[in-house]
Amino acid sequence: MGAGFLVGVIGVLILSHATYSTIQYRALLKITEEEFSGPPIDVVIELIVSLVLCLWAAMAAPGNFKSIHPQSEENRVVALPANLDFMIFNHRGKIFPLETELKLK
Amino acid sequence: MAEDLVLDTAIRDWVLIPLSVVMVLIGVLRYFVSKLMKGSSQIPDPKIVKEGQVIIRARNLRAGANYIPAKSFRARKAYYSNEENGLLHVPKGQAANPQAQMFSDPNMAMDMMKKNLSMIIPQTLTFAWVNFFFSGFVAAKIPFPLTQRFRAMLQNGIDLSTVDVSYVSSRSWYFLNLFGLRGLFSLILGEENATDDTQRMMQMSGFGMDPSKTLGAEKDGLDIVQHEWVLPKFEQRAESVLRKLVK
Amino acid sequence: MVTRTEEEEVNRLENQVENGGGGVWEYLCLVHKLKLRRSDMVLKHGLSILNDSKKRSALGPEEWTLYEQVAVAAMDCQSIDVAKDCIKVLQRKFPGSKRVGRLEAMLLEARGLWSEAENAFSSLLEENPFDQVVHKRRVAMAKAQGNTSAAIDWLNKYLDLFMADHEAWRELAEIYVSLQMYKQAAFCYEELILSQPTVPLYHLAYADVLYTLGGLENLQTAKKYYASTIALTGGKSTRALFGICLCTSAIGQLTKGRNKEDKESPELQSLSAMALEKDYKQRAPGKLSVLSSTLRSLKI
Repeated sequence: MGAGFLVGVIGVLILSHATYSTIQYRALLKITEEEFSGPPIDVVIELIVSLVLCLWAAMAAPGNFKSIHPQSEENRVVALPANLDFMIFNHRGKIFPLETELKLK
Repeated sequence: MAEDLVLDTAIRDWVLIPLSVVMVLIGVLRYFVSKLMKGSSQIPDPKIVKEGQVIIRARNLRAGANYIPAKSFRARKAYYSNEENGLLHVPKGQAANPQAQMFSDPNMAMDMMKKNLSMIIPQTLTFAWVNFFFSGFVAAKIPFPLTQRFRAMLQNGIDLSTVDVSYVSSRSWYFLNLFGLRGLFSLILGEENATDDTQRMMQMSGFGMDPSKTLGAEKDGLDIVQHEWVLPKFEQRAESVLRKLVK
Repeated sequence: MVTRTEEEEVNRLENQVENGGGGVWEYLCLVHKLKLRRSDMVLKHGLSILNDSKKRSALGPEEWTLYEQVAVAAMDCQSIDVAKDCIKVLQRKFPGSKRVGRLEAMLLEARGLWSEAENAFSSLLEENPFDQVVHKRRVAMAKAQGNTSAAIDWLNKYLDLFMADHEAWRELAEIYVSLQMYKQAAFCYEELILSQPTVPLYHLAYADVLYTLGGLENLQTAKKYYASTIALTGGKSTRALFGICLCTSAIGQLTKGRNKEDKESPELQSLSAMALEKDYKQRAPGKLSVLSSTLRSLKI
C-alpha cells in the first residue's frame, strides 16, 4: 500500500483514459469513413506510460522483496533440525522427570 | 455462417444436465471401486527402490560435484560408474525385460488388469451409452466464437461443416466432461484423490519403462561432468564478505 | 533447515506461549514443521490443548497428529503414562494402523524394554520391509543401549538401500565423529554437502573433521571449507572464524622453513581475526583480552 498502490491507481486511470480515447477515435473514424490503421500517437504514449506504472505498482504494492541469498540475515541457516527419526529416549533427562500432574484426561 | 440455431430446452433438461451428472457420479463410483480393488498395498521390489535411490544420489553428485574436493569426487564417480560393479553400470543382457518381468510376476499383471478394469470398463460403457442415445445432435452452445480448428474437438459426431463452431455436439460434451472434471473431483474427493484420467493414461504409456535406461542415462550424465572445485572461489567471496563486515 | 527468521519466530512464540499469551497451536505447528526437539514445551502445551475439548475439536483432523506429537514428546520426557494414554486414544481411532503400531513399539523402547521393542519393530518390518522410520528406530535403539557398533552396522545396511536419505547420513556422520573415526565421518559429510550444498553447517562440520584429521592437504581443504562457511553465513559464524585462524596457524607451522610462494590468501586470516575482535567487542567486551592473547599466540 501507499506509494506503490497510488502509482497503480494512476496507471489504471491512464489506461482507461487511453481506452476511452481509442473508442472516441474509432467513432470519429466511422463518421469520417476512414480506415482504422492504428491508434494515434498520444494513445500509444499513454499506453506505454500506464504499462510502466502498472508494472512498477505490481512489483511494489503487494509486498517487499525477500532476499534469495543464503547468507542474508533472514535466510541464514542457524541450526539443523533435530534428527527426530533417530531420537533416543535413554538420555539424561530421565533423571529429572517433569511435573507429575500432567495427565491426559 | 449459418443462422442461429434454436436449441430445444428439452435437450438441456434431458441431455446436457443428465450427461454431466452421470459423468460425475461415475467418477465418484470409480474412485470407490478402485479403492476397494486396490487391496493390500503390494511391497515394492527392493531392487527398484534401490535403483531410485541410486539415481537420486547420483543426481545429487552431478549437481553438487563442484562442492567437494576432486579426490572425493573421483572416488564417487568410480563408485557409481566403473565398468565392473559400479552402481549405475548395468551389464548388457541383464537388463530386465519389462514384458518378461510382467509375466513372471502375476501380481503385477493382476494389478494392471485391475487398474485397466476400473478405468476402461466404465469409460466404454458410458461412451456406448452416449453414442446410442445422444449421437448426432447439438447439445449446447458455448458463449464465445471459436476458430475452425476446434471443430474436431467440439463437434465430434456431426459431419456438417456449416454449423458454427461454438455449438457442441453431445458426444463432444461427453469428452469435455471426461477430461475436464478433474477440478471438480479434487473438490469432491479431496485434493490428491482426484481420479485423473489424463494422468493415468500417461502412466499407462510410461508403464514398463526400462529402469536400466534411466541408470544408463544417469551414468552418461555423470561421465561428462567436469569437476571444477568452487571452494577457492568461496575463499575470495569470504574475503569480500569479511572486508565488508569489518569495515 | 532452521533459518534465522524461523528461529526468531519460534522463540517469540515460545515466549508468548510460556507467558500465557496464546498461539499455542501455531507454536506446536512450527515446532513440528521445523522438527525441533522441545519435548517439555510440546508436552505441557500440547496437553493443555488436548485436555480442552473445545480447543481440541477445533483442530479437526489435525487433532490426531497432535496426539502423536504429544505422545512422542511424552516419551522423550519419560512421562510414560501420558504417552500411553495418547496412544490408547489413537488406537481407538485407528485400529490396526501401522503408524500407531510404531508408536507402541516406541513406547516399549522408552520404557527400556529393549527386547520387546525389538520384537515389535521386527514384526512391523515383516509387514513392510521398506518402512524407513522403523529402520531408523532400530538404529536409535542400538545407540540408546550404548551399542554404537551395532548402530553403525544397522545404519550402513539401511544406507545401502536408502542411500539418498540425508538424515541417516547425518546420523552416521555424528556417530563416526563420536567414535573418532574421522575419515569415515568426512565421507558422510561430503555426502551431506552433495545433497544440500548451500547449508553452511555441513561445510562447517566437514571442515572441523578435516582440521581434526590434520595433514597439510586436509588443513588447506579445511580452511577452504571454513571460508565457504563464512561466505554462506555472511561472516556470522564464530566457529568458522576461529577455524580460519587455527588452520592458517597450523598450515604455517607445517610449511615453516619451506618455500612460501604458494601462500594463498594471506588476508583471510587477518580479516577473520579482525571480524572476531569486532564481534567480541560488541557482544562480550569482557572476554576481549582473552581473545586477543589467543590470537596473538596463534600468529607465527
